[in-house]
Amino acid sequence: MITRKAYGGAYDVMNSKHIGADMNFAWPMAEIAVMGARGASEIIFKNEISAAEDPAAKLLEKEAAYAELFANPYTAAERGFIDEVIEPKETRKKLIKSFAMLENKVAKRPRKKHGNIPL
Amino acid sequence: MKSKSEILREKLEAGKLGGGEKRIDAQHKKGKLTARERISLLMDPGSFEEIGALVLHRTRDFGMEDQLFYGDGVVTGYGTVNGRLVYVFAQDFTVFGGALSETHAEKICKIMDMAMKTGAPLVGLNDSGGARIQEGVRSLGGYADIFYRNVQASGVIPQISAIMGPCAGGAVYSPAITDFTVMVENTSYMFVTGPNVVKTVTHEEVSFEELGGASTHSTKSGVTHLTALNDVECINQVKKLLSYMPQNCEDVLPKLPYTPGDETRPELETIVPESANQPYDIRAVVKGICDEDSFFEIHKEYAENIVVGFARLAGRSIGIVANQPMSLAGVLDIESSRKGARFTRFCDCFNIPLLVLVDVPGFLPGTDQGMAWHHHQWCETAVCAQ
Repeated sequence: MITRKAYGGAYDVMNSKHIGADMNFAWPMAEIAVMGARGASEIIFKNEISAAEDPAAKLLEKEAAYAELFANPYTAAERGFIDEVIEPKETRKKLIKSFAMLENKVAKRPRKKHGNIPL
Repeated sequence: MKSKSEILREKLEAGKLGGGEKRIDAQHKKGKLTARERISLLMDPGSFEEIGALVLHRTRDFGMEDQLFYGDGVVTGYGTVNGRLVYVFAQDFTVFGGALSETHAEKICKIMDMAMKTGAPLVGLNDSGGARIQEGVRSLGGYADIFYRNVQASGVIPQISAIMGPCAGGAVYSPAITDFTVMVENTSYMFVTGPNVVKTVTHEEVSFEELGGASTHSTKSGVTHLTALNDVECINQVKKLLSYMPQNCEDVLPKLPYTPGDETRPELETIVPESANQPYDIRAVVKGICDEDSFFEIHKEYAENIVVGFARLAGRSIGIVANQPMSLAGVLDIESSRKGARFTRFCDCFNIPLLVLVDVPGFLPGTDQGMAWHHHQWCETAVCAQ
């Protein structure tokens, strides 16, 4: 259940769909991206920004463009990484139904003695 | 002449007094309850059945043959907590300072084995000066017999340790292996070795409280999951913990009666601020989602950039792991990764469904963060959680 930021590798490990979560929700203000819009723009548009007459203004422009494109839950939802984007007030209702639906879940694991967790 | 029944009653009465009234008074003066008083608070009234009340130690050196106390410094048995079977051992500080002997350990092992066979939680109420030094390696063997069982039982039945007095040396390993530890403030200590030895070895001057008190272990080391103001609160924390857990890894989860109603929560709309850089308390979101007053926070003062705990959703037990934007912007670092991983692993062991609330700016960078290692433990734990 993403309330706001889900950036970078931390997005992956905070129970993303990819590592095995059963249901993934996000609020409309969620930002699911590799990093914040400013940091991303500084890297992607480095040359363009430094060549600009007003680099600060250019950065702001690029930042807004990046935020428009990625600082939202919809790119992830398009791919099914997020099952549903929900309004905050609906959260409890959605979660009660999800946990009820999952009550009899059975997970099969590969046969092994035990994994070698980096202890 | 006394009847055989009278002889039995005398023995049992003597055992109930532990190390005698003088030592019981001393225990009370320290603000501590006795082993039996603690058990009576834990268990449903009248449900406790004692096992091994007549056990005596076998040491015949150093004059120990003249110091024999029924029960040998630990009260063990079973009963019910909120109607469910639970096994308990409570060390009796009034008998040899609760020091662990071969027979004392055998009593603990006996109920651990029974808890495993019947699939019920084990609660340890620790209050012991350490190994019974008059017994030497026989006492140490007793510790190891307990650890062995702790490890075998891990993930099979919930194991909870309350630290309600000293817990030093060989005694600390067992609570450290168990699932949850609760420490009483000011009267309990956990350390591998005390301030005197620390001073000799490293020349570091440190007080009992700084080295192994509840405040140190709840904020810096994370060794204790919960703290309590006194013995009564400590026992209540143990009971509350048990209320969220199944009896064993194959049991169904506890579920409170719940009447469905309007589950819309408009207050959730206004918690996250407009600006993405402004903090807010993720606990407000937890509170908004979960059943009223059902959130029980674990490791509250340790690694505050992540919030973990048990709650109920429509009466069902769930675990919650949530980034906390209010502390370090909710970043994942070593400590918060460990905290999140440990709680996630417990929930996974006992099939407690997990709700993860995500508002995370990333991993904390830096040379002292030993990056990969602890983060991978977190990652592996999350991947394993099924």
